[in-house]
Amino acid sequence: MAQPAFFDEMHSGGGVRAPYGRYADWLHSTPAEALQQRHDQANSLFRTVGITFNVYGEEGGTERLIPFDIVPRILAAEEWAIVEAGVIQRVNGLNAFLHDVYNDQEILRSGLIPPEMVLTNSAFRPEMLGLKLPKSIYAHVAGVDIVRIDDKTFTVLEDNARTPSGVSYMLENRQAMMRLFPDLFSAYAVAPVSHYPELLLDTLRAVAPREVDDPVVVLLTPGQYNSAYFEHAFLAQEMGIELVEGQDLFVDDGEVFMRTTRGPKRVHVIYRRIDDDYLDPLTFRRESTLGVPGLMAACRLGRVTVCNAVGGGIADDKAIYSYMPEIIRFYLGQEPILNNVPTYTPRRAEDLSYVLAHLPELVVKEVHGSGGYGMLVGPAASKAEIEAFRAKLIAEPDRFIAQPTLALSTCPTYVDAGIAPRHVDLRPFVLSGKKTMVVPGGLTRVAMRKGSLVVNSSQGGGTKDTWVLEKPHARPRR
Amino acid sequence: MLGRAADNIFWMARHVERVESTVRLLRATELNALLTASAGDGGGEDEAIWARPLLLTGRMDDFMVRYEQLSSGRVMAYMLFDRDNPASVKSVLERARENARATRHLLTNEVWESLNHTWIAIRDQHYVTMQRTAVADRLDWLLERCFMFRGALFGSMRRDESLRFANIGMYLERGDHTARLLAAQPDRAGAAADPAAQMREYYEGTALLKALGSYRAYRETFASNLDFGRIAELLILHATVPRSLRGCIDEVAETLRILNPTAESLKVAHELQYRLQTVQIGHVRRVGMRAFLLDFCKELDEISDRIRHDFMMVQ
Repeated sequence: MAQPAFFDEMHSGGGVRAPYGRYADWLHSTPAEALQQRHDQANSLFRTVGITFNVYGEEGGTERLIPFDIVPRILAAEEWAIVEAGVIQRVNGLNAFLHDVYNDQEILRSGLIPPEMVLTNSAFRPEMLGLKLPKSIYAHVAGVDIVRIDDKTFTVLEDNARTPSGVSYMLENRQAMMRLFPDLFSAYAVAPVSHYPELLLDTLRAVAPREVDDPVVVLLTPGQYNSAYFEHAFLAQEMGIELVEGQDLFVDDGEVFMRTTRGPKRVHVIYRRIDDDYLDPLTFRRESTLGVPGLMAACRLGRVTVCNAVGGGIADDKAIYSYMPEIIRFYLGQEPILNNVPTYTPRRAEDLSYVLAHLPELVVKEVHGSGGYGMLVGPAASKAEIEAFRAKLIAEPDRFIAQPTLALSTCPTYVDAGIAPRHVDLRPFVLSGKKTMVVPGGLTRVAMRKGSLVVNSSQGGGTKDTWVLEKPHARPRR
Repeated sequence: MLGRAADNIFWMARHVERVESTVRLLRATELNALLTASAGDGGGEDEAIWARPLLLTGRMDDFMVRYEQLSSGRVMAYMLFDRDNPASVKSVLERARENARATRHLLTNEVWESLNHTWIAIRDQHYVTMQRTAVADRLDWLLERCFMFRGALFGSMRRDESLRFANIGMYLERGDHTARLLAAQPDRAGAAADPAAQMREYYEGTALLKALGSYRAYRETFASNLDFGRIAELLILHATVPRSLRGCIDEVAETLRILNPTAESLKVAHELQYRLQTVQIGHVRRVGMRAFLLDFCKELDEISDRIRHDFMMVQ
C-alpha cells in the first residue's frame, strides 16, 4: 500500500489516532443522512445568526457564509501544550522586538538583522519612536498561523501582529457544535474557549493609560461594509463596550472622546480594527475618512492606548519572519519551541537564483500581501502562471519571499462525496496584557477543495471547531 | 450610548413600523377593492382605490412612469417587492435591517434574528411568481413578523436608552402614518344621500379602520353606525387607541421625559400633547381636518429634528 503523502489528524500510523478514538466510533455509527441533516442545520443556524463576511471585489455589500465543517479538529492535551508554550514564547519575542526597534534598537546594532530591512520598511512607523507604551506591549492580540507536518512537528507559517481576525468564528463554531452535537460534548472533555472576550477585555483594560482607574474601552471598526464587521460587532457585544466608527470619536486637547447621547465621553483604550494607514488622516493617509484626526497625537501624549499599537506590522512582515528564531534567542535567551518554515528572500542574489530554478516546487508570497491574494502555489500553478511570477520576481525581488510547499496535515471533512481528508491549519489567538495567554484552541481553517493548500476564507476556505481535550481528571467530573 | 447608534436604533424601529403601516394599508386596499367591487356594479377594478397607497406614499409619478397602468397586481408588485421603489416593503425592510446590522451589538439576538430572518425570507421573493391568494398570505405573514419583532424588542431588551429610542422612532412613525392616512380621506360634507353612496362609505370606513387596526376599537367605543366624523375623533383624540395621534404623542412625550426631562424635543412634544388633550373635535372640523393633520405631521418632524440635536450630537 502506498504511503499517504500527508499526515492525517485522524488516521495516521495505521489506525485511528488516540484523540479521535471515540469520535471515530461515533462517526462510523452515524448514518449518512444524519450527518447531512446536521450539516444543513449548521448552515441555517449560521445564516440566521448572521455570521457572514463581506467579500472584497464582489458587488457592494455582498455577504457570504464561510463554509463551516461539522467534523471537529481534535488535539490531545499534550499536543496543545506544545502549541501553547510555542505561541506564547513567540508573541513574547514579537513584543520584545517591537519595543526594541522603537526604542534602543539593540538588535539592529548587534547586526543580527540588517537595519535597512527594518528602518526602510513601509510597516515601520517612525511616529512610534521613543514612546513608552503601557507594559511595553505592542501586539496585544496576535494570531499565529500554525501548520502541522507530522505527529511531532508544528510549524509557524506566519505571525499576525496587526489586526488578526477570525476569533469570532472560533467562538461561534463552538456554540454551533454544542448545539448540533451535545452528545459528543458529554462524551469528551473539551476545554472551553467561550471566555475569550472576558480575557480580551481584561487585556485591554490592563494597558490603559496609567492614571486611569476605570478605563473606558471601545472597539473601532471601519464600518458595516468591512469584511470582518460581524466579528467587530460580536466582540463589542460580548465585552459590553461601544462599537465606534471614526466619525463617533474626536480629539480635544490631546484627549479622545466619543459622541454619546449624553454628550462627549472620554475614551482611554481603543481596540482598533482599522489598519495603521487609515487611523489618523493628520498623520497617515490624508484622504482617510475612517480614522480620527489627531489620534496619533493623543497616543503620543499617552492619553489613549491604541491596541494593537501602531507600527506592529514590522514584526509580522514576511521578510522579518525568517529572523524569528534569532529574535526569540536574542530577547528571551530560549530555543524556539515552534519551527519556522525555511524561507528564501529573493532580495539576496543566491536565494533569487535558487527560487527561479525551483518555482514549480515553491510557494511564493508577496511580502506585504495577506488573505491569500497574490501568491503562487508552484505545484498547483500552470506554466503560464509560473512564467508570470518569474517575470515579477526578476523585476521586483524585494516584494517576495518563497517557501517550500508544506505538507499541511489533513483532517476528515464533510464534503459532497461524504467524509474526505482536507488540508487544515490552526490560528490560536494570543493575548498580551497582564500576562501572555491563549485560550485552548483557535480557529482551524480548512481548504474545502480537494488537494488545495490555500485555507484563506477569501479563497473559498472553510472553518472547523478546534477541540483541545483536557487531561483526564483535569476537571472534576460532575 | 453613541449618538450614531441611537440614531440607527431609532430608524430601525421607524422602518419596521413603516413596513407594518404599508402592509396594513395594502391589506385594507385589497379589502376595500373587493368589498366595493362586490357592492358596486362588479365591472373591473376601481383604479381610484389602487391609486391611494401610491398617493399616500408619494410614489404615483414614479409608478406611472415605470408601470404605466393602475391595477391590483401592479400596485402590489410595486409596493411589496420592487427594490427600485424606496417605499416598497422590501426596500424599507432592507433599510431596517441595515440599521440593525450597524448596531447589532446593542440588540439582543432575539431582535436581530427576528429581523434578519424576515429579511432573508423576503429578499428573493418577487410578485410574478405569486398567486393572488399567496399575496394575501404574505401580507398576513409580514404583519406577524412585525409583531414578532416588537415582541422581541419589548420582551428581550433591557429598559435602557436603546429601547427608548426604538420606542420613540416607532411612535413618531405611527403618528405620522395615521395622520397622513386620515388627511388623505376625501372631503365628506354631511352624510351621503343615496343608498349606493352610503354603502360605499360604509366599506371605505371599514377599510380605513382596518388599515389602522382600529375596527374593533370603534365598535367598542361607539354604539353607533360607522361615521367618518367619529372615526376621525377616535383616531385623533382617543388615548387608548394604539394608533391614535393622542396615543402616539403620549408615548413619545413620556419616553423623552425619561431620557432627558430638559430636552428641547420634549418641550415641543409637550406642546403637541397639550393641544391634543384639550382640543375638541368640533374645533378640528372648523379649522379644517386636513390642515390640522398636516400641521400635526410638521410638529412630529420638528420633534424628530430636535431629537437629533438633543441626543445625537449633530451640530
